[in-house]
Amino acid sequence: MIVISNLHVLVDGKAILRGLDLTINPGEVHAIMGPNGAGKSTLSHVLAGRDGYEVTEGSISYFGKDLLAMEPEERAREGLFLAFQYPVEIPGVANATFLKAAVNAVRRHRGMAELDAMDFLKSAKAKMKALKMDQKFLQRAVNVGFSGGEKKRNEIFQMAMLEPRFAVLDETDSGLDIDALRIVSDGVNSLRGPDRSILMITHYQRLLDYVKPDIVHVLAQGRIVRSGGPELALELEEHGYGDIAQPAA
Amino acid sequence: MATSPSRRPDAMAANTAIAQAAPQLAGYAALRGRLPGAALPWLGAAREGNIERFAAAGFPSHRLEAWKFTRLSGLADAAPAEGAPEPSTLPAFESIPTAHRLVFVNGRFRGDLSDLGHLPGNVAVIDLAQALAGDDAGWLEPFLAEPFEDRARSLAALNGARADHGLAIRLGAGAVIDPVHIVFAADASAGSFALHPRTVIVAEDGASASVLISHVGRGDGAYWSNPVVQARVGQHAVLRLYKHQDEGAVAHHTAFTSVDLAGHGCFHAATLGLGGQLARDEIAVRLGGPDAECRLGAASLARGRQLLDATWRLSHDHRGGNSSQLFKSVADDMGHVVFQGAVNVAVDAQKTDAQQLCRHLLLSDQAAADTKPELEILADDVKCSHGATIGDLDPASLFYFQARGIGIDQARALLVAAHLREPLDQIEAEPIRNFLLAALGRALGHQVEDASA
Repeated sequence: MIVISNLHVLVDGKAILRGLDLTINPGEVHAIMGPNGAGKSTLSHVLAGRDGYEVTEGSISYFGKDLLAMEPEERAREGLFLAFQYPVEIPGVANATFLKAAVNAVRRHRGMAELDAMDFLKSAKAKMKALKMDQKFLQRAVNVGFSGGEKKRNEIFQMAMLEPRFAVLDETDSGLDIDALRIVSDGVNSLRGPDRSILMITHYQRLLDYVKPDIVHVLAQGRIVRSGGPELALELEEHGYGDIAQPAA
Repeated sequence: MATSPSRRPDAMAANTAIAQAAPQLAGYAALRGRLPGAALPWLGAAREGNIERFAAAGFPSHRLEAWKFTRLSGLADAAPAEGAPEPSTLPAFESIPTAHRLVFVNGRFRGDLSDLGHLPGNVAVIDLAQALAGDDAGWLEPFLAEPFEDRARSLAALNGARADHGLAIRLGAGAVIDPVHIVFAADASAGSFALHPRTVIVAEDGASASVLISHVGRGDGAYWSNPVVQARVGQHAVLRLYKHQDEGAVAHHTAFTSVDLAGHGCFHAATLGLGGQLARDEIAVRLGGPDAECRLGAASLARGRQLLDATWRLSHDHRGGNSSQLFKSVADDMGHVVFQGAVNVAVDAQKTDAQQLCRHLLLSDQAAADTKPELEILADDVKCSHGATIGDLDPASLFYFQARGIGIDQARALLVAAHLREPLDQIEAEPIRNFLLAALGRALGHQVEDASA
């Protein structure tokens, strides 16, 4: 279970998150929607442990552990996965090298034997096939020369390899055409399971047509201002953020 | 106000230069009669001429523009002048199993460690002393008799006088050899000594060769390695010349390589710089015919108190030349990296395309990098560009690794390897590329995989 309580975060001295509360149970898929500037990406970065975000108040309990006390790599090894809105290009490091290092770091942490090159390739190729990715991607430098859709698919591929307990998808639908959106969504759906929690952060409703959330939240001015079922997303689509995004008086 | 002339700075510098050069002159005088080819009058005269040039110039001073960032005073004050003794132990070195191999240890050709295998037709790979003892040594004269006039190249002049070992590779028209591995190994546990190897490579028209030269030193002795390589590449010929500089930890390495390209000739070079307390690698290439191509690359890793200097000069003398320079470095601890890249485009060298890129990574507060691009362009219809960056590892890249569970140390190591490998990835000769990537991996303490596998 992930419990975010009263989270306050400053970025460059400016209050971006202002008392955010959110609880996600195992197996649940949550969506956070909100207008630009509401603090959506700040939330994803704070969860992953990026520098430059100052938590001034509140806590994040991650399966009973204090998430905010952990280094970013520890969080990843404990099963937290952030699918980046803007995946980083790493010239000179092959996708296979990168991912094998990641998979084995996680496996070591979990007390599992490291994968050798053969086992890694076998597992990677099977998962690439499911995501309709060319196996040549393994030898290419991480995200270098990838199209927007290829980068997002690569994020989901990494997620499939790392088998997280808690996946945060930051604007994973942005920049995707309809075919790519379907492939990525299929990938996410195939990873749904009773032991995995997923938090989708999105500006638009259309991803939610493909990946059905259990609970939808509206984030505005640094707080969750409304929560509801999937119908809330449709309501937002119809009426916009205008009314809903005003915090209750 | 009267001052004693000997106290003027110029005169003091001159006195210092004389004092620094004296042991080298004595060293040469003691060896003169025993140097290879001593019986050849043209060679004797050339050696005398070059020792005089060295005597007049002394060790290069940092007041010379070409030595602006690299102070040689540490070497000049105590430069060994003696030849190397027999090694007490054989220094460990790696080699390419499939290569035609020539090995020198402490300045001695070692037939027992060499394996030339079956040489293709029309190719000679021969120990310099043997080549000079033969009847047809005359073809070496334009190289071994070259006068090194430039004061900034006085150490090449010293090699011109002192060269006592080395080799010659000669490819007849259309001949092919791939790969050749030359190893200059030093057992430095024997103390301090000087090595002046000389390599001559001639690729006649249409020939093609891939050559790797390793300089490897083991042990704590403060020896000095001062190699000179001269190459001539004929029309439509290709020379790929790679270097693996892994000298001993307190050794000095001062190398000069000069290459002359005929029309449509092609020269590709890449250097992996790892060793030595001070290593200077100067390469001068003349695109001496139309439509010649030159690609230079280097990866330098300076740690501890190392100073690694790469100084390149490309002269586009004819039209249609194409050149690229890619220099990558990492300086950690108190390491210091120098890159000087000069491109001269002569007035007749229209349609020249010359690109230069230099990227330094500084991993500690006390590490330093100097970079000096020098473009002198006299033709008006050319494409020339240069770029230089100096910086730390990209925080966004590091975070991406961490967000996937990879620890910060491993992330840094992978990014450093990624930075340095780029010039090595461009090596076409696969066994040499893999050899140098493996050497880089050993230096970084982890495996660097061949991305093209």
